[in-house]
Amino acid sequence: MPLDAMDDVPDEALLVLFANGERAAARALTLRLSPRVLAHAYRLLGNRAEAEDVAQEALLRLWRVAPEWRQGEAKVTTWLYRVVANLCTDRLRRGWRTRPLEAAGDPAEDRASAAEDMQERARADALQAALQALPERQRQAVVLRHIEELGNPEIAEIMGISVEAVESLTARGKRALSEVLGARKDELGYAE
Amino acid sequence: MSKTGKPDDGMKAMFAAARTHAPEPDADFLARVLGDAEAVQAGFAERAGDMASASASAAAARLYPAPARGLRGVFAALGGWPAVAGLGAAALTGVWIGVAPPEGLSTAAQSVWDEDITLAFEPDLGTDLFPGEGG
Repeated sequence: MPLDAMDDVPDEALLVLFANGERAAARALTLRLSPRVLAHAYRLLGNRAEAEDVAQEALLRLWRVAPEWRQGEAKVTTWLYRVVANLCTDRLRRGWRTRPLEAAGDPAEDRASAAEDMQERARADALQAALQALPERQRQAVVLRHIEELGNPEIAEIMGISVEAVESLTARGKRALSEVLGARKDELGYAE
Repeated sequence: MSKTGKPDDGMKAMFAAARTHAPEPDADFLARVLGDAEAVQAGFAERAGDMASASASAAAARLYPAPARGLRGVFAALGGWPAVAGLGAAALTGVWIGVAPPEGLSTAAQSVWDEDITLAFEPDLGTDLFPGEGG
């Protein structure tokens, strides 16, 4: 099956094709899921190299579990978010600490020349630094709710907690972010 | 923050910036991930191949059992243990009757030929077996 023909195929169906040996499904899933998994790991860890390791490991676990994947039980992305979070937690508990304000990746030089884009970059970096200062669970909840834009029930499933607990974590996390970033609002060019 | 609990415009802009400037996977990272995927996928194919091969071998063995060779072949050709046991018992019985004939055997022979016959294991058997001829 050609790669572009898989654009409309759901993740779960692609995973079945992958388990059946469809090579195009491996490429399609890699291209589709890698950006999201890497970005999520980076937002939880604040370190590109660590985030790549976690993302690669999470996806490797997905490849291995593909033949046993049970349709309809969980979304592939929900499962991946959970695995990424667990892997990040393991790293943090092993003593590795997040480092604020590390560059988020290779900037696109043509866009970086624009002042507006530079401000966007500054905002993203400032937010990432503020996220790293949050307690781990608050950071995870805020990232899932306000950056990944998931619904509270799915976040609850990912984090293994109640919807009420998710609401509490996101509210506290967002309030803490507002306080930290509010001090830099002029620099970052936004109004509270 | 607004009273509705939703992110205010400032925070919305911050979150939007984070989405826009998410770290993007580079070619090296994608190659590593795809390499993992293809290696795992190849493992599935090997496992499926091994299972199919084992299944086919078992089916072939059931349909076309390999012929046995040597004594085992003779043994199998005779019909296995039941047949060989029967043959052995018959052979032993024959030898026993030859060495120690039962008492009633002479009487039985007399009733067949209607004459008084004496059976004895002697080198010169001809005269005793056919007493009416010559002698």
